[in-house]
Amino acid sequence: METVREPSSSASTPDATAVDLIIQAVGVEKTYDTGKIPVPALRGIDLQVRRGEMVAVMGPSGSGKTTLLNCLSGLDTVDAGTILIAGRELARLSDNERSEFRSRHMGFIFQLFNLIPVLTAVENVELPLLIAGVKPAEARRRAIEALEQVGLARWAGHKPAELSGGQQQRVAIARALANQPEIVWADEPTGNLDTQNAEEVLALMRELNRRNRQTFVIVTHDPRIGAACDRVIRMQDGLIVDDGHALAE
Amino acid sequence: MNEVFGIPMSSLATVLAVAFFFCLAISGAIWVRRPILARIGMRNIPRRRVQTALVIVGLMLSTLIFAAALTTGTTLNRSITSEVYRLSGDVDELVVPSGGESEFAGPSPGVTFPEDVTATIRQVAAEEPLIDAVIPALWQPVPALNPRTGLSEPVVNLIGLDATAIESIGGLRDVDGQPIDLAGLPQDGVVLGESTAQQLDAQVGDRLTLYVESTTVDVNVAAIAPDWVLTGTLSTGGESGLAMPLVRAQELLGRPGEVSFIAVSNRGDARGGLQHSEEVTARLNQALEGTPYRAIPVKQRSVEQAEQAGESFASFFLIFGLFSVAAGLLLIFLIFALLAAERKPEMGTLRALGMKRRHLVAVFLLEGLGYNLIAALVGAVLGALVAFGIAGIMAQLIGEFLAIEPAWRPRDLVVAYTLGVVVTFLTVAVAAWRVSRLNIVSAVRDLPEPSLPRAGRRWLVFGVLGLLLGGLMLWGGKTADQLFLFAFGMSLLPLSLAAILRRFGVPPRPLYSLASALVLAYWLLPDSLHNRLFGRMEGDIEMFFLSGVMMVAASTVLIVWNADVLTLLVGAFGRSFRSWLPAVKIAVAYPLASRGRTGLTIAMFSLIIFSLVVMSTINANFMALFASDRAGAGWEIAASKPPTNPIPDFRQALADAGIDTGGITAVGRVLQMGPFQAQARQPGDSEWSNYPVSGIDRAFAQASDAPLQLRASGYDSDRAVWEAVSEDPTLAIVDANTLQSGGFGGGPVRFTIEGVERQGSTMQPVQIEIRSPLDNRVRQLTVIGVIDPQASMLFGIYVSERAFQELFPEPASITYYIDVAPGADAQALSRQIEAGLIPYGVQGTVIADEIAEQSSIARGFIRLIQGFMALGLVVGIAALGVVSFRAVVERRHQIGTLRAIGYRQSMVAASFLLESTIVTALGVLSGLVLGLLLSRLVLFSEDFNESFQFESLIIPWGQIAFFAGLALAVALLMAYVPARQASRVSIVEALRYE
Repeated sequence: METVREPSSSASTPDATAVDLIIQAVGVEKTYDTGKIPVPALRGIDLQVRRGEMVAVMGPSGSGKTTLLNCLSGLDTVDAGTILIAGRELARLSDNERSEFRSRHMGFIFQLFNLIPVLTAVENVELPLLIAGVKPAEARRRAIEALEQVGLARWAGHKPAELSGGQQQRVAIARALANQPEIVWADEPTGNLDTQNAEEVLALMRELNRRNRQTFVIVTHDPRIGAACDRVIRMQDGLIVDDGHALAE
Repeated sequence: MNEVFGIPMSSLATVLAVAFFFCLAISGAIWVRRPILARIGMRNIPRRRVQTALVIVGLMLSTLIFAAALTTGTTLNRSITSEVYRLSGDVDELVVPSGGESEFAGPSPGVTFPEDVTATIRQVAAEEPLIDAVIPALWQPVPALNPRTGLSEPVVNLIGLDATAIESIGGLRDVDGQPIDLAGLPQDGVVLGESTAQQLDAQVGDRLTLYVESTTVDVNVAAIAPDWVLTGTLSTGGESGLAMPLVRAQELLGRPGEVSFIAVSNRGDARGGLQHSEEVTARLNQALEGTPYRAIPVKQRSVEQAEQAGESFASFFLIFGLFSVAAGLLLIFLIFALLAAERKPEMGTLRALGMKRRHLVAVFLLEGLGYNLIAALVGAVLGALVAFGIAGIMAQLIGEFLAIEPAWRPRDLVVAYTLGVVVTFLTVAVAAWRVSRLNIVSAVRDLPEPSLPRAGRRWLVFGVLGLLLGGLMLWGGKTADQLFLFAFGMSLLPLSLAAILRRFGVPPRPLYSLASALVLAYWLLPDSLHNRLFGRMEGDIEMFFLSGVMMVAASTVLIVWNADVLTLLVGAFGRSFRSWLPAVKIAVAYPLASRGRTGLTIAMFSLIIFSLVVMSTINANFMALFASDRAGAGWEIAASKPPTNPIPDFRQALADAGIDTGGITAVGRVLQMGPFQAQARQPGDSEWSNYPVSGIDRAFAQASDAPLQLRASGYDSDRAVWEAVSEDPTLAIVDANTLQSGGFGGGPVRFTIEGVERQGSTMQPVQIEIRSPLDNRVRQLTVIGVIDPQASMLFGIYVSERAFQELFPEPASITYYIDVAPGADAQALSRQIEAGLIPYGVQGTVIADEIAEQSSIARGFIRLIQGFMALGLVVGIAALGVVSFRAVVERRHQIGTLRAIGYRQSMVAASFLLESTIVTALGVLSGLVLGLLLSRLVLFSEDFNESFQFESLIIPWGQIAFFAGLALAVALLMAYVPARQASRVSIVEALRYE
């Protein structure tokens, strides 16, 4: 396991008092050290995302998009820099605290859906609720509501293998949204879907974002997603080359 | 069985029950608190049915071993106990002349005492309601002949019984259950024991001839009764007999008013009387205080001995089964590593969704418990079946002496089941904790774990803890003189140091290679050097297990970090079989890439082959030593007889019987006292040891070809030493076992002489004392020779006949050793001697046949144990199955790619088969080499060398080839199905497969 380095004292600290910012990253660096050649993946990223924004992160393969998402979401650690999510610095949390934070404040959508094959759709959706300590009956009610939101309530009792790719991704979205997280992280959510399903999933995410005012950070190659988002952040060689637009001070 | 490894079974069962319910409680609590974890865990079980079956096979083995060992113990215990109850009947105690340890005391042939003592016992019985009956008896072994059938028996136990007294316990009954009126028998009537009737082919109405002292007596078979102590069968597997009224026996044997023992029956039936034995024995001994007699609780003692025999067997099987259990535990680790690899993206997702590591551990724990509860059940049932198989083989080996009744007890299976579940649960917990450590990002994307230039902090923690523990063990082992602790500590130190250095970035390959080489070097130190460096310490059979585990662990680490040497071999192979080179390269590359699972599989095979090779090699060397041509000390025939009916002149007696003595070249006489009828010690020792003593005549000394391992200076030859001992009553020769201070085991018959100063084959004479436990008379002796273990027939302390008779006027038995001219038929002569000397009760044995029979029984037992140990191969095979099936799934995409670039189906299948073969072969080779090295070290160690002095190592190549071939063949068979699956993968589907 990588160790978490404390941010250096010289690094500038994000302004925690800035208005309605849910993600604040300053000077984030990440290098993969395989023992042979160190590979810099993030080379000093500064980023701010407002609450309720839907942001696309785009760039060529190897530009550091997924690494950025992993670091921002606390799945991975950073070598330098500071990240505040909803005012909390994840690097200062223990593994258990970070897990708990994820279960209460974040949702994830993966390219390969990553549903648990032995659980039914509704069980997959209620999983983060149960982890977060929601009572089983309440978790089930909310999971069914989430499935209704993505139009899959009648498939609640089916296991992932019995669903199409598009349906599986909808279940994954329902799972990501079930605990009403403040932020949803999506890594190539349409990467494994055909055009029609991809458009449906995108429309669904957009609608949920607008309806629930949840922040979406989506790593994608798909220009349609970029076009549908409030902002597109472009990356190249571990740097943000275009952050879409400057935040209003 | 009441105990195993000295732990009471009831305590063990209680502790295990508590631990079992604790495991269930933990799992139940997880289930209740987080039902979703239980659902995930439980639903994983039926996902892949073949894999589930293999997992259950792997997990059941520990329980199977435990159940088989405990049930074998119970079978043996039940068999002996049944025989004890059958033979003892209602007799619970015997009153006999005191002397020796009560543990071994009993009536002796020819030793009698006044019948008046019965009055004392009857007086106690009158006051003590727990006593049912008091039956005085006179016993003497006599030869018997049935003239009708021409069959004879040299030893038939003639028992004279108080006919009135025996009625108080229901009297004698015949084989059909009809009462026999002993008092009402005709003057010459006898009741024949069932076995004696079979041996003589006698029936009611037959007239038998008994040879009593120098006369013959004809008796009439009035009835045939089941064998038991009062019809002459005094011990399990011992000779049968015949019964007659006491007065008639006293008259016949010339012992009026004398008895050999007084049998006492307690209130209750054969089994019920046992519970009063302690109380009654104490009461009788209180009454006998101050007299030269004492009461022995014979039935209780025999039942306890049965219990001990069962426990010994169970412990023996458990110890040898530990290798399989260890391999089974490795399999659990492997299984969970593979399950985790398969579910990596799921685990990563669960972690991404907020699950903590302990939740993943809980999921695996619950899944593991699901497998575990089923596997342990299957293991317990199969274990009982294996034990019944063992019982069948034992019945073939020793059925002649003891009827083996397969038996099982629910408690044994419950203990085995709970032990299996608890051991597996703990192992699963550790394995689950290990696999729950994952990089979330890599897991979610199903990428390999990132390789780090240095180990994490926990390695440092483990390393430091290992160093501390190792140091503590070294100190503890040295202080307490315990080799186990010391050697464990020595093995921990290099490995712990390597873990610490790895944390500081030292490259793993040289580090682990050096650490494992150091551990191997320690274990392969000759013990003389070890003793010089670290001092001499005590070790027992547990060292076999520890050495195996440590050497195999070190060797496996060394192999997996240096297996790329194989690529050189691959190059050489490729030059010869170019078209198969791609398959070979793939077959080598995959095991090298997965060090963990390859290492675990190698270690499993290595452990089992190691244990089998050590067992086979040590056994082969001992068999060659003890069953060599010199085992009989140059004698061809042993003619033994009881001390009664003495033979004044053996050759003359043969001539009188019409036997041609022309082919006999020498006859030597040896008077003997058994191991519990004589004792020995070194002057100054407080404790006496039970050890047999023999008195030899000059002819024995002159004609024996019994080489000496050591002889005192001043004697020109071994024969000179034998002759000196036969003539000088102050001298003695001892067998080589007396010099063995260390080594494994022990037992009630063991006498060790310390401080023998030797120089080459010369020794300084040593003083010892021997004693008769009957009257505690002691004789000082000077040991001037030690018998070479090749003359394995000779066991005990050898003195002159004169010295013997001064201490033991009445020998327990007399043996005439006979040597015959080359070409003479020893078997025919032996039969003639037995038939011709029937009046003297002589039993003839061809020594080579006797040694061959004993070797055959010993070999049978060794094979039985080896078969039991080979059960561990099932673990290795299950491991290969799990690994191979997993490999097919894991490499589906890669197989597609290989097929797309031109690999033929046969190449894909071949690479899978070859991969299994390489891994199995490495395991087998590692186990074989380590096993041979350890065997050599043990056989040529100082402890063994003191006694046995092996000249060269005998390697049982046949057996080793069989085990290695079996492992390889079954491994190939196991890999065949997945290899076939792999070769038939559709290219298009495989390329789409993620």
